[in-house]
Amino acid sequence: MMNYKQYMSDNNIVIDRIVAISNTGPLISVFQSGRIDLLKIYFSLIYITASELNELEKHVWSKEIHTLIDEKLIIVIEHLTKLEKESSIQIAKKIAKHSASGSTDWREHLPEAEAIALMAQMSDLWADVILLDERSAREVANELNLSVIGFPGLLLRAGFDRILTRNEILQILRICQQCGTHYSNHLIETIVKLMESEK
Amino acid sequence: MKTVPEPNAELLSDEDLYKELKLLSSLFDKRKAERHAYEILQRPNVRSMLDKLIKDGAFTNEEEAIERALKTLMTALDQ
Repeated sequence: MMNYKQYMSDNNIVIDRIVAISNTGPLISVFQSGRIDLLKIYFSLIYITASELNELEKHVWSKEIHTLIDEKLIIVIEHLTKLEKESSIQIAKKIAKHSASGSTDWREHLPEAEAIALMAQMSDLWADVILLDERSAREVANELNLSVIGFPGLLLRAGFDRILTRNEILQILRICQQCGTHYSNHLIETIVKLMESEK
Repeated sequence: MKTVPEPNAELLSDEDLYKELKLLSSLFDKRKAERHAYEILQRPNVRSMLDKLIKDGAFTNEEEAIERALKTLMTALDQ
């Protein structure tokens, strides 16, 4: 693995880090691939909601998420306002109805719906972007004109910044696939082609 | 055992990638511009000139003063 700090220092690369609100999916991909360094390179702060924290704990990612909370890279928004809660329920229902959704039960979509509601309504968080990988949630966020990125987009950017090689990106996405995060083969092929076009 | 929520959910497609790259570039550019602006505005001489111009009523705010200063400079340099 490349020592990115050394590489960035040697090449005078300064990345002005951004603030994000994240859903659990992209964070799990980071954990699966062991590339927490990417979060530290690109983000100064990442917000998650309490229900997302519960979801991560339920899926046995407690150690990883709490390490980032202790490091103050991740902040948990413990309480949502009444308006945000109401908005989250409406958003969760929309996600559940979407044809690409993994579940028709809106309650299962509350964590990502809360993240979207926060991004849409809490301007005092100064979040630049919301991290979402699920197509249904992304489309609902797009309808609200939110800035959305996913884990593969971040990897591609890291590739263009020469922080990751084409093979490292391929390896990361294959690891995620093996661990149950189903990035499509077509998506992976496109990333590889884009990386090759950058050579 | 470590698992993922909603393992059967459809994820983003390759078409999203192009949009995301563009978006990330614009976000990092914006942050860079903010950092540059912050660094310049923190310089004591710049700070004191801006404060004086606003205090004297020449401009209502920093943005107006900076924009007018640049326009004046462009005119002076005949650009």
